[in-house]
Amino acid sequence: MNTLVEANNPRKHYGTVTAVHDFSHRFAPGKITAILGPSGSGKSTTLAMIAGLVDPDGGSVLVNEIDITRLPAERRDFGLVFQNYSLFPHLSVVENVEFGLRVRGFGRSERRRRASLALEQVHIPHLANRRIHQISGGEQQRVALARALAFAPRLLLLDEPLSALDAKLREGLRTELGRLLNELSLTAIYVTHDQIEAMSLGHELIIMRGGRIEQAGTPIEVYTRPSTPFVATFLGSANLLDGECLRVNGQTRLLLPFMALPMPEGTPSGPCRVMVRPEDISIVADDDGQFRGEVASSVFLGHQARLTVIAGGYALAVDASNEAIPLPGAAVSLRIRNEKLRILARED
Amino acid sequence: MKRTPSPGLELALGCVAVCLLVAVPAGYALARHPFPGSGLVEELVLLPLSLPGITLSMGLLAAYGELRGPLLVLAGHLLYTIPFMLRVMTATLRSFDVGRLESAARSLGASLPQRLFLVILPNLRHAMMVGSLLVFAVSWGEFNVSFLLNRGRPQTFPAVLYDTCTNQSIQVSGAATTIFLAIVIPVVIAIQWLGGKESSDMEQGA
Repeated sequence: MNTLVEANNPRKHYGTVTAVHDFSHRFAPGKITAILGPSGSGKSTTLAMIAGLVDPDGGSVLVNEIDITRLPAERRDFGLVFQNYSLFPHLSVVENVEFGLRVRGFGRSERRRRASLALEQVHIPHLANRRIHQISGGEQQRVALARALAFAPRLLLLDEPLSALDAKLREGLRTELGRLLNELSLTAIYVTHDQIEAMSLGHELIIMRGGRIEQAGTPIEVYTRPSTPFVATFLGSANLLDGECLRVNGQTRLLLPFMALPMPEGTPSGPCRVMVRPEDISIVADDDGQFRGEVASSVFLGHQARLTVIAGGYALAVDASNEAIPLPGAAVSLRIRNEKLRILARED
Repeated sequence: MKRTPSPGLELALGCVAVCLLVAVPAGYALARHPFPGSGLVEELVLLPLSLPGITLSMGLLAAYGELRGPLLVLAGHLLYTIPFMLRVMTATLRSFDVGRLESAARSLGASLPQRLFLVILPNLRHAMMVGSLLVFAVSWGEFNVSFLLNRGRPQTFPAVLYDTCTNQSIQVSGAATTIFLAIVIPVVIAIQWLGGKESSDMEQGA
């Protein structure tokens, strides 16, 4: 269901603490929007305000152009999946899934039919008659998802739904959740502090920090073109270098502590902050290198190795193939993919 | 022939009913919506448990002497039993996140009465059962307040026991004691069983 949801700066203060103060966004209809941020960035409060479980101090929330800011949560028709499942312990699996239909006055047979369909969608129809304490954490989260979907909500809100699960289970459920949400084409808002979840599930990604939106865009846009040093370092790993852009003989050049690089026309002159990701620095043969450095440490990560290379006074994070991992103390030649350099606004 | 109910049975059942009506909403309010001073209120409710029965009875007689009789006995019993019910309720409500379940129910479309009858009360049924049995056992075995605040026919079984011990034969009082224990022992066993079952459910629950 392509519900259009719009947050017009809903604000929330708890005493002197400001939880959310600058969040205006039109959520892509029929798509998944991931809200990513560190603890205390206001992402869960934002979700709770959209769900109607927290009253905003100001601003508004619109659904299909209608202001629902003061509409009680129970009248919004939003499905909500909680981090801790929040299943009703006194009801069986199928009774939990039926709950939203029961309070809407659906008859027993229709309730059972829809609940069975929802349980099939999450692949646990065989658990219908189990008690909640008789099923595993992963199964409980499937029940929570089935319960939120069974009454055909016009918007699905997910608050860190996989964070209580172990890594392997989380990976499997993440893939399945992505497939199901894409099949349903439901407008969904997915709050998480896990970058992989956010980037792999979200058609759109919002990075929050200190109660406000730091950057919004597609995951690829945000990852490759972060607008601030915070986004650059929060989403993935990044080397932040201080440099200066100078115009010399009609060409713009970026001076870094260990080398100079040509920059495209239109790059503003002056001191700047430069981001380069570890995967965009390569260890190359000496003849192809732009600069040299000394390996300070290397960490084997399975599919690759992460090196720390000292160059020009900077400790650069560099990704290397795990086939020939340089040992600490080794001198290496390095090359930066110029097109991947990103000049960022300075943060004061 | 007029049927004579067991002494104390009506009183104990009345206590259970009033305690449920008072302590369940009060426990919910204290656990779910604490306010400045709510901790003090909880402690004050427990205060009568630390007072000797004779002190409490004398105080009630001095203040409400004209009500002496079954109503004043009920009031005395309630001062002793409400704390038990309230403690069981607040402890249970704090042992699982009732606010979380309520939020889930709200998000699923449940109105306030639906949340109350479909989520909150069903999750409190064990606690209400344990609390009711505790209240029944305390009221059933209470002597001081029942003896001192009553007028006329003994209101509770212990008062009858006292009567049989002082005025009748040891055989009669022995028989009366047996009847007393026949009622109270199953209640105590039920409290133990339900209490254990509840903690086990809470540990396993979602």
